[in-house]
Amino acid sequence: MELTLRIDQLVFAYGQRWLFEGFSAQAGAGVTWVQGANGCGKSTLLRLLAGALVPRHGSFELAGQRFSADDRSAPLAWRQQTFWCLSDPPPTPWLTIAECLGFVSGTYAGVDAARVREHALALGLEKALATPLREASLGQQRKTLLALALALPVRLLLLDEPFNALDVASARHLTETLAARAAQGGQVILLTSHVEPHVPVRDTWLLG
Amino acid sequence: MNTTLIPVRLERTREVLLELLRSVRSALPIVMGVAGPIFVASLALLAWAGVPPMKAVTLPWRSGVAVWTLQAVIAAWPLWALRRRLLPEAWCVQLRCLPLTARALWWSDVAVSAVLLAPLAGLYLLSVAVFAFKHPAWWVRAMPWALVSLAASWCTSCALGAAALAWQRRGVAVRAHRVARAQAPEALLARRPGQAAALLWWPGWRGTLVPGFVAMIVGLVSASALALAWTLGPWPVVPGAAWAFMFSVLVVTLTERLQRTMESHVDGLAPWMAALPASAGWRGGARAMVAAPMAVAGAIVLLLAMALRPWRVLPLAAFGVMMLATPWLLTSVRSSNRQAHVGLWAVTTGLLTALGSELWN
Repeated sequence: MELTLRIDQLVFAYGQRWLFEGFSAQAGAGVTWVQGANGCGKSTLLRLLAGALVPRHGSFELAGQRFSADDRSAPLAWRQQTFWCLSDPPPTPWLTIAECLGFVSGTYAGVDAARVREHALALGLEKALATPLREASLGQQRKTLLALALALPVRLLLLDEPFNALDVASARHLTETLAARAAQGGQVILLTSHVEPHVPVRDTWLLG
Repeated sequence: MNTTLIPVRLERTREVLLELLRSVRSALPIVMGVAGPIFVASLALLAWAGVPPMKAVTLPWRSGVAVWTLQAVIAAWPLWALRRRLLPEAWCVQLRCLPLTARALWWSDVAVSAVLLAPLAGLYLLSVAVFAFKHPAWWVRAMPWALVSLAASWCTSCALGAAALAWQRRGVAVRAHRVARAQAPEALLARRPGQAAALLWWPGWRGTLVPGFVAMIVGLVSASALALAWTLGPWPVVPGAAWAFMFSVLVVTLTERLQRTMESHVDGLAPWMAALPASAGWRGGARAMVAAPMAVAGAIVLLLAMALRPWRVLPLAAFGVMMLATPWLLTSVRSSNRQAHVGLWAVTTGLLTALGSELWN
């Protein structure tokens, strides 16, 4: 059976500012490009799917796991199959890049440490591993999250503006890896980007 | 002297003072209700603010220097306590990038320090006015050196305050240049820090919890010293209830301060942690960490009481339970609810003082 993410009747607002009023959509394995103007709710949609926010109404379903507005927080099984690569730097600036990689990957089951190392090195983080995140450049902070995104064995990958602040070599590694993942078909990848991502896009959602 | 930097720094100082006033204003009705008479009585003491530096010139030189220095340092403490708010890290970094001379930066620090210590200058003037009106014999004899000593004390406090701000500027620069030890990637990536270390312990030494941890260590050392003075009783002139009160105020205030720091730390991490497949155990750990100083200080007092004085089980148990219940009560209410928190602060301090006094009755 094909891997499918289902969003059903999503309702969410920040105070009185309504972003989603009964939004429903489906995404299959591969890359889905989430588009829209600033403030239309692209990042909020990823936050909701990650469990960082809880919807007022509606539900998400993926591979037999369900997360709905009735849950106080995203169920552990849902979080185990999801990784949210936020557009901000990691909120643990006191950790070194290596510690951040170790801490986050340690929360997931079945992580292959060699893959974390492989992607960290491919993204050019080798010399920065002992650098505290607060002293790392924006690009290095973003690469830390991207190394995790590419290494963790999750079914749902939420990438918020992943190409921001990346150097050419790292952007190429990200593009190639995402293209390979899209071809394999074992992962639903939601990607927000203001510029066209140079990866095979299976579907496009236009919000707002 | 740079003419544009000082107004900008003073505007920031005004914002910080307004923030402080707003937080004090919400708590004022409860403070006045609970400790109104003490508060009103303490107003009469304001005229005594300038006495130590003036009296210092009449004392033997060692005692005089000690009293004078102590007052100057204590008066500069607000600048040290507020240095991170008056000069946030982003400001320090920005100031380093602007074409400003070291002299201009120093002058702006001095200006901020002088503005913050202006109310103290007012109190000193009030002291001089009161003593000029009453002209007690010691004061008349000490003139005019008493006035010179008073003015020098304020200027020294001002200079110390400016140094605290300069330290904040320099500290940020030093941290930015720190270089990490080189290690092999394999060794670095082999680490799997747990929640307690990554989210609660390391931030205490390297991150957002540093001010809370520093306050915790200083508070614990002070609480231990108070506990020793209380139990050993080398100053019989100070009654046991006064020691109990000082100890209670210190530990409850320390817990409250740590809670505020911890809440802002937890709020910053919460969305990210909600998305990771990790247990919520770190939140319980954060609460336990807030309670830890009080538990440790309480244990020290109880152990000292059991070792040094005749003791009875009931007051001892009541005091111990209250030392555990207080942080639990405080952390049950968010610190942003200032009125509830100040109410809890007053009630728990009163109860701890009463139960603490019973230990030696």
